[in-house]
Amino acid sequence: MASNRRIDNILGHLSTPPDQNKDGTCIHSQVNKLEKKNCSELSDNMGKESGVNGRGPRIPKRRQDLLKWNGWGFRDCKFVLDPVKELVSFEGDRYQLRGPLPYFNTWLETIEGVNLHANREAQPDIQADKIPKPIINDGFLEDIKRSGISLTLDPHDRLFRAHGHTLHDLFTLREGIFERIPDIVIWPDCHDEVVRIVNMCVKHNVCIIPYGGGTNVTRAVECPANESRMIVSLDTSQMNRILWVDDKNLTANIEAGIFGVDLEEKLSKYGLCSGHEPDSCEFSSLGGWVATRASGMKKNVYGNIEDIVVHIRMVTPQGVIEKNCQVPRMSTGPDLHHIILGSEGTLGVVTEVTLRVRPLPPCRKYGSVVFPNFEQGVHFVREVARQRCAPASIRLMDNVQFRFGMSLKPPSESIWTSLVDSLKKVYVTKLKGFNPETMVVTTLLFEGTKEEVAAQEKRVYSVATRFGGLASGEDNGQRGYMMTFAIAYIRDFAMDHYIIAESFETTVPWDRVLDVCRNVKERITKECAANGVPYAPIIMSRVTQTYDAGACIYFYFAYMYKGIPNPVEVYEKIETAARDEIISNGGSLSHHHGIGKHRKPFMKGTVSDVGMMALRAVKDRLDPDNIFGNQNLM
Amino acid sequence: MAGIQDNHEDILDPRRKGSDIRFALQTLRGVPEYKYINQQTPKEVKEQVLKSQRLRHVIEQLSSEKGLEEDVIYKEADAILEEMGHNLNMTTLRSLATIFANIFRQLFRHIYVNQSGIQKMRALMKESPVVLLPTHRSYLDFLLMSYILFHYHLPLPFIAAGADFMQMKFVGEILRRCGGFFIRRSFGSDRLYWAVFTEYVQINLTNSEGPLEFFVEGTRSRTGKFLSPKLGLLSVVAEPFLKGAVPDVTLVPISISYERIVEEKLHAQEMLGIPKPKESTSGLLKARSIFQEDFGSIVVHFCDPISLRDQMKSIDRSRHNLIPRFIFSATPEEQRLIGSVAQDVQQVQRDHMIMSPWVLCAACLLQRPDSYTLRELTSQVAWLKDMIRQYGIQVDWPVGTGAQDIIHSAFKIHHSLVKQHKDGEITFSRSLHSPNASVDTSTREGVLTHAAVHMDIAMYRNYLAASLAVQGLVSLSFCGLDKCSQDELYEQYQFLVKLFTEEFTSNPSHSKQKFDRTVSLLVACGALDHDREEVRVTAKGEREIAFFTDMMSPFLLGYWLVCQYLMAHPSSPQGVPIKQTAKDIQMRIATIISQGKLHHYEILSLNLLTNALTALTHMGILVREKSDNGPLISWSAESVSRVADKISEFIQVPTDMTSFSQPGEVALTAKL
Repeated sequence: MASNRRIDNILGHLSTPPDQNKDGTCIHSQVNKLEKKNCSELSDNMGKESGVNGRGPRIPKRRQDLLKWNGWGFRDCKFVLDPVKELVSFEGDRYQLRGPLPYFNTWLETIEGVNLHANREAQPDIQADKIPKPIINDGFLEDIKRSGISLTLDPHDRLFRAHGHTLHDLFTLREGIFERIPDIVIWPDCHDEVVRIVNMCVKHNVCIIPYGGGTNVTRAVECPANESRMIVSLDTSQMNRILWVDDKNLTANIEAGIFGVDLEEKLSKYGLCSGHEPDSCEFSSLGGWVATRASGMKKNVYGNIEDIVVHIRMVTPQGVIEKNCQVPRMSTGPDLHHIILGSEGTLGVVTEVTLRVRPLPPCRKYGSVVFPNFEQGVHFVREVARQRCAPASIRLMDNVQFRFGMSLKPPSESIWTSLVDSLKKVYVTKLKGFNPETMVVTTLLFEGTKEEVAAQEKRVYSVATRFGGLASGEDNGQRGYMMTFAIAYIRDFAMDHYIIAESFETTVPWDRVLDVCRNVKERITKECAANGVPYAPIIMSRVTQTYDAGACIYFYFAYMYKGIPNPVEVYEKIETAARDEIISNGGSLSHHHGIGKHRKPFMKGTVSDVGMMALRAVKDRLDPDNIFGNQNLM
Repeated sequence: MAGIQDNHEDILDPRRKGSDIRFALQTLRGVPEYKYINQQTPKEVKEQVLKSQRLRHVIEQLSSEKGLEEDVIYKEADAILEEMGHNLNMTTLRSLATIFANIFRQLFRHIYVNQSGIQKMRALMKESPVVLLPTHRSYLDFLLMSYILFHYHLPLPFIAAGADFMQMKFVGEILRRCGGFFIRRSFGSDRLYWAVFTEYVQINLTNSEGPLEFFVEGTRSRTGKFLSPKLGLLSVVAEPFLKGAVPDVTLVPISISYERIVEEKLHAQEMLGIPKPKESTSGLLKARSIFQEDFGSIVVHFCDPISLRDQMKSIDRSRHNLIPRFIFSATPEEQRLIGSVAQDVQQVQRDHMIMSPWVLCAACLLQRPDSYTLRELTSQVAWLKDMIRQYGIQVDWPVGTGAQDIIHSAFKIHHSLVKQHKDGEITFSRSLHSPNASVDTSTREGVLTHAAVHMDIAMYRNYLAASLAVQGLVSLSFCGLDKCSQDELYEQYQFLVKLFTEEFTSNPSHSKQKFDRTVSLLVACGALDHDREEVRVTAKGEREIAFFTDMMSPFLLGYWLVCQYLMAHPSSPQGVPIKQTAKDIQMRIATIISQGKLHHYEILSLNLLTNALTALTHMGILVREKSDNGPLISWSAESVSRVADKISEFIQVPTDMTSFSQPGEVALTAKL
């Protein structure tokens, strides 16, 4: 068996993947068969089906054929407004969320000033002649063409890789055009090709911006407007193979371009998983996780990316940086991995990563607990962290987000008053003090053997009882996780109706969790008013990860911006104020999104002047000609 | 010019018409509630203090330093808390409401409150914790505040009161039930006390069941001027904002202008060094005779709320991220800023003080004691009213009443201070206690007895002096000339600002700005005229500048006399107690007055003399050292003489000061 696998791997190395560009329709039908629920379930389902269609990347080189070119996710998935019934529904059948959402309108209307009849249409497309012409370094182009490595100068392919998913990016795509975009897209097929590309770029002084899933919200892949050299968008998506799996050591060596769902799907064939599940895992890549210090929803069981990596191979302009063994820990000076993790493509490009992997858990179970108010909920999650009995995932949503989640219920179920009703059946007397205006929910995901899950559940629910919580079923838990996938799609819908929606995150010490949530909400509300936003914003927060010494808080906020002539500028002012408030209140600049160019101004205050010097010194030494010139971090 | 009645309403008016009991028992409607209110009983608050990390941290420290059991220190903390804690109780409050409605009605003609200020405050009470910062001129201040808040259906305040009130039987307990909590006057470096106090105040602030109330001045100002702000409580209030425990803190400066201060006599005596009686209930009962008196009206102005967040914009709060929030930390920059906020609060308070006609009378009378006729005074006061209104000073000058009637009415309220003779002449009372007694002012005792009357009148004059201090100092800076270069003027002005830091508090960081603004204002009002080089006093301005100069010169003269004394009496190297020195100087000055060589009784104020010594210390002229018996000062005659010479540039100083150099004993006990 093991030798067969090795042969497969070797064959994989040798075979050239078919060029999907030539046959887009084929890809389309293939991908359509991959039914997608939410990410956790994704790997299971795909495990079954990919036996049939196991070859080739799920996402084609021409990503815009499958994915929205100016929004989030799959082209065939979106929130739409039924013109007749005026109800919102979710189109597409890739997710559990689908069809009419009869309660969603009511929730949307809680956003002040919302008017679904007011449309702010995005430009339908951008003509090729409107897209900036490429800057060509003739010597380089000649060399790269001669090398036989896959590439394109197609304007739409270049445009697709010019941005991530910040509000700024989306506004530009919907209503304008980027000043500077990559001049060429190159798809290396393996580590060696990357080495050759980097060498050519050094030789011809060409700039490289590594591109994985493009899901960043930090303007990390945006081309610096002042970059006058030719810019290569180095698309790693073709490097998506698992090179080997070592089930004795429970490690797997994987190419860095693989996307999250594909990784889990492929590992599942070995009965294994990585367990790393960021909310973006449908579209984000392993290399991207490493480059940004990503965090997965199930880190309580599996760890964050820095805990999972055993070995990293990165190509820099000076050569390849890597360790000489694959061991769980070593004391050999500062850990080189920590120079690579979070380097955000400024030093080189990650090509291959060895991860520690785990056997697939036989049992996965959702759960939820409601609390009368956010404060009690925070005390509960804090206690769970103190006792270190957190299940794979534990998240606390505030009241606004709780209601938002409830509003995504399908028509068959009645809105959340029925939740209260169903709870009443179970807890006749205890439901006093639960006010729909203040109650919050903790969503839980347990993983392990049946016995382990049962034991975990028992312990968590008993702590919950002590803090005044009432168990409220698996469905409500699962809906909470589904919501995080849906919310990314909602933004496109919101923007169609003059609503700005954005998220940001931070880590804070436990004693400041409540204060930060409150103060950030207050600050955003004040700043909106001060900046002339005519309507009050809606702000929700979620304690989304717990640690021994603190927690990760995720904020969403939205407001109706109709009437503001410069919405992006105003939005950025507000976001900067919110970030300033977070930092002033003892929060971090970022827990897992990273810095990119978006949060760069806060970097020096975060790591100190000398800290910046250290980062700068590494950069200057590894990349003296600034080949990796995305200008992130520093 | 609108009258006070136009934008203020008299909250005593309904009390004269309706039932006090119904007032006390009324249902409070629409009481604004802080959106993140945390309701706790006084007992729960105390428990939270005792459980706090801050207290535990300090107790651990103290225990290891002093080798005491933690339990023992906890008991001590518990005792501090028992002594400190309020016990706000609506039942007591309601019964008091009846009594106070009655008392206020008897003492005062009107209590005017600006409703617009109440409305603004009401709105903000929902948004953030609110701190009320009234001026402090009378014991009545906090009763008055609670009464007003009750009247307007606002949450009742938690009030920081001096621990000396606690000594009063019943009254102490009643205050507690009204939301008062007690703070010892001095606990400087007592870390345990600090910890308990800080935690207690901050819990009440962040719970925000009601506003916190305290006096920036720390204690009552007996002089009518503003005392240098005390920063302790303000720092305690700022900390939760700096460390993110509250989104903001709203500061509401409040200016309370009394037409007549209930305890004016006590104040005058204290200024002369007659110790204030310990607060006692029997003392309060004796004070019952005051119910026969007329104390005129009160104007309470709730100024525009100040956001602490706005004030602290320049601060990088993330500096506090590296130590736990229960360890007190304020950077020097933050402390400076807190000082600046306190000064700005005082400026706002000052800007909204209302001058009664009597204040204007006092200001005129003191410049020419015992020499005004009613007619002359009337015309001078009327001129003064119009003049100061140009500078934005608000005067409670009833519309449609003749000037003479207005002054008559003021005299009636202040009948113990001035007498109007049949021939129209106006003289000061000889003694505060028996206005008609004759007092022999050729003796030192007589001088001090009569001085009390001057002290009292000066207190009212000082309301105006405090509000017009900058105009006064600019006028003085002309040094009696009618023109001066801009630069010279500012240089002289700066010297005075430095000299008078204790006398006339102001924000040092706005010094230049204030000078420029005031000069432009004087120019705009036609008192001064200037070109690029020179500032000139105009013909119209002569009278104004002379008035301002006369108002301020007694202070300068007082400082000059202090210098003369210090020059004549070099200190011993180990230093002399500051209190003792002030007292000595006072006696010398009393002697000079008794000899008829000086007529400025108000210089006998120990407050002024001590301020002078303090200012000289700040300027580095005196050296101050701590000792077991209070601070000691020492000096060299030479450096003092430089200051004296500088002062003599500004004003005419007496030439015959031989009595200062005369050796001789000084009697310390003056009978009054």
